[in-house]
Amino acid sequence: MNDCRDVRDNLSAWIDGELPAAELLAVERHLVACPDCRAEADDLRRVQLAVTKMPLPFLPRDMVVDINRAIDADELVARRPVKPAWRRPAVMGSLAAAAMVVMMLTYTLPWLLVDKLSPALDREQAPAPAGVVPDRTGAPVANAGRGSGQLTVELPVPEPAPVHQEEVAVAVNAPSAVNREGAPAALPAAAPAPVPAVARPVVPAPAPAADALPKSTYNATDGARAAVADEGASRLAAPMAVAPVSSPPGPSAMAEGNVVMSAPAPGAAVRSALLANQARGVNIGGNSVTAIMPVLSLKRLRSHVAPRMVSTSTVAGDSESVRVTIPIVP
Amino acid sequence: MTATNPALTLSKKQGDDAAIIAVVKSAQRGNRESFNALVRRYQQEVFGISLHFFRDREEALDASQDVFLQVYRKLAQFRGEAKFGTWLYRVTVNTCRNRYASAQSRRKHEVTLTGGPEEDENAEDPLARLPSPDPTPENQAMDRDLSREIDAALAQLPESQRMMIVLCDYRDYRYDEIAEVMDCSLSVVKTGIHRGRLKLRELLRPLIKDGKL
Repeated sequence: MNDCRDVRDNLSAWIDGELPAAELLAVERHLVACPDCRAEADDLRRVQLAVTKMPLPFLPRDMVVDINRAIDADELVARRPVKPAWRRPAVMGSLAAAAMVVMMLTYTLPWLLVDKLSPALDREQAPAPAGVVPDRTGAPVANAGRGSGQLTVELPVPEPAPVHQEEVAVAVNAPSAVNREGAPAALPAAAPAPVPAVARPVVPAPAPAADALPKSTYNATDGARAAVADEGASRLAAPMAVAPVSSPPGPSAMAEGNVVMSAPAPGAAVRSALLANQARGVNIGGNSVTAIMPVLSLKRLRSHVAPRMVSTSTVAGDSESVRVTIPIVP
Repeated sequence: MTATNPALTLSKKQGDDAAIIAVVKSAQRGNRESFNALVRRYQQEVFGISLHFFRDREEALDASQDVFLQVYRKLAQFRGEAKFGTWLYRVTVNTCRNRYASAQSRRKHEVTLTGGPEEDENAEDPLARLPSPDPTPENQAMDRDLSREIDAALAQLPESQRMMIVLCDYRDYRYDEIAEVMDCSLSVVKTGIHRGRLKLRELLRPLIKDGKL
């Protein structure tokens, strides 16, 4: 090891007495012969001595008291009983969030799925006599059967209160049943009855309009009235008309009732629904109704007419309007 | 009753490893007085290392307290394979590094929040916080200004080189002990100390030329 570079790399270790014997001798031999390396070794030794002579920093206070205080506080925390896992804030927060999600799904999912469920329920109910099919939340879905008079009436989830709170007039053009609530009489065996509802039997009544309904169905106590008729009555003249009885049948009835037409309905009923949603140029053709309406009203229309029944096309020169076509019963 | 409390027999100047081990074992059994004896024995050195690391007295005091709290918690893990001092300095270096990393992260966040480096420009000069020399005759050997210049030069070294030189020259540690404290290899220590000294030589060259060193 006679190379200056190798020696200089070892100078600090040599100063600190950290070199093995063989390297130590080699460095010392080289330093005797090389004044430059010797000068560097001298400088490094001065630096090392200077740091060694540095005064100890002044410790401002005895740390024992502070440290003991910190240890006592630390042990106090360690002795504190540990909360059960489910009571820790993070877990509590997670549980609360999960509960909120469940609640939100409980109240919103039925409405999100209502249009998707209806066709499936229609198919399930097709061979059987029509009746009320409650959805998963207990919201009744009245199924009037398949065919030209196929009708699905979806009603909001009733409050757990007296059943006669809402006036509904139903006119059905089918040998089917339209019912409110999950009435056992009109239900398949497995259908639940979430509230003590009054089962209203099937309504093939000749009356086309709510005003023509039998007085016997009128409940004077709460003003509720439903369109009901004898089982053997003939088909209704109008294949579909669902509206709160308190309002005259027409646009407002279609617009404000919580009813969704998910099958072709009479032209007049569809027209009413369209007019209630600011449609113009309503034209009732053979199998469909066309109209032009504001794009912004489409969403509202789809709360009355199942989206799958509404086909749309653009209106030339009017980007804020849309042409809608809805099939109707011929 | 001839048995003595090992904590009472541990003096600061006592370098007897056996005595220190006895006190450590007593502290491991839960004797708080023995633990306090260890604190008194090593607090100056732990504070010195922390101060060289942070160059801030308050931060160094907090770090030293943190070190002894860690030592109290982990004392049962000390098996005596290494010297207690080596183990303690290792805890010290690791604690300082962790605190420094946390402070850096916090400072970075604060700078982001306040929107610029203006505050750094107004920051207090760290040299103004240099420790006052210990007014003991032993420490009067070095001129206060000279000490300050050496300390300022040390502060310019990278953290690992600075800590290696402090442990080697200031605490008289062997290279293998430094490697254990710093958790690195012997060759890294050798290179680090040498490079640190070369840089110090450059920084202190005027003093060397003037014959002050």
